[in-house]
Amino acid sequence: MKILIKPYVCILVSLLLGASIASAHHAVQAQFDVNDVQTFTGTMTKVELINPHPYFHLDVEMPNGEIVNWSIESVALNALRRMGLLKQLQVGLEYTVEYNPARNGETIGLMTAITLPNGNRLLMRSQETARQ
Amino acid sequence: MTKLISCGSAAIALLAVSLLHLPPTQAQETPRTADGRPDFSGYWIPGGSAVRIFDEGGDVVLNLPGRDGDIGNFEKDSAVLQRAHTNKPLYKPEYWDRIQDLDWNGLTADPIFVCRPAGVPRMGPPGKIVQTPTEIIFMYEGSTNTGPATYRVIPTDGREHHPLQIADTSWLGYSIGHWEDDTLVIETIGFNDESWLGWTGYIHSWDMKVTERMRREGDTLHWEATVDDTMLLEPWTMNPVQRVVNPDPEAFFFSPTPCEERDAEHIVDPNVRG
Repeated sequence: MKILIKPYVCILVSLLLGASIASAHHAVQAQFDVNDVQTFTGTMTKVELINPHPYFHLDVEMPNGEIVNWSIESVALNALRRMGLLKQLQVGLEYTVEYNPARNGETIGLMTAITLPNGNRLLMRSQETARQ
Repeated sequence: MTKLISCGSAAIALLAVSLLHLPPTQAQETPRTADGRPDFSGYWIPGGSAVRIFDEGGDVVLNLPGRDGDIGNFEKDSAVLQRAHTNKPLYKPEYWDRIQDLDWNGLTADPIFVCRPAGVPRMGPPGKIVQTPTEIIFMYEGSTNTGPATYRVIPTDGREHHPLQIADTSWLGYSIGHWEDDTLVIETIGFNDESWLGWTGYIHSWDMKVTERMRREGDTLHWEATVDDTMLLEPWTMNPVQRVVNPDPEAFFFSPTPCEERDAEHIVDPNVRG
């Protein structure tokens, strides 16, 4: 049985958000259409594990056969680290990405989910009914 | 079947999550050092909006807080809450136009947006503290809110600020600590005029002096900071912040990571803040 996240990580529920009133690097609505979720499957060409947001670059075959390189912005790097998944994100492998598209039409998206080559899916979502 | 998250210590996890949401308690005895001071050493977990990570039948779910189950509400609410704060620094009239402009148009002017440090006091209490009889060391893991990972070495041996510290300009300033009964009082000067006090464009001058007061009651850390500055009509005390000690004996910081801002050139509406 392969354990990607060790038990002790479970108690490190923190946190993208450090302050009692949390803020983000920027409001994603300023850049992405958060009401539109699109999907593509592509081959990872570059992984940039940087702050404030990691970027994944993937070659995607468009309907006309053209290969287009997409840039996908992720949640903060330490959140990905707390999932223990960084080494699952490799150049040359194929991923299915769900994303909010850029409002300016560029081939940039905000990742809402990614399906790994082993079929497991990493999903960002909200279930809170109220802020704490 | 691949097991993505093995929470054999689920009970401990639940305890940790619960600690984030419990009001501060004084039930636990406050640990003390050999010299009788409250012992601040340890990892301290931020309170507030918790991001939860859990397994859901093989998928890994990162649960972000958002009203009505909408992730987009996280940032919308953040913006409203920050502007709605009644506790604001009061600036002298000659700075009002600048503050208002930064509030509405300052997305890319915010130092932490472009990977600069949040600085003192905006970065708040540390995530880890190491305490000795003569100094206390604050360590910050780094985040969107606190800026890059950093540290502060704060003497508590009775010394005063060095002339070169007084003459310097810096993001974190230079701190000297002393004890007032069980309260650690930290006075910091030597700031630059580039850091902000808050998201809404709260600027300050070189003359800023920050006084932090920190107490430990049981497993709860109480932190507050007061800003004195010539730009302000009166000293401003920030909303206090509380943290709880991390009960995990294997707690650690993730290694620091470089920061490169990439979003500014792609933003369609810079007035949408979050």
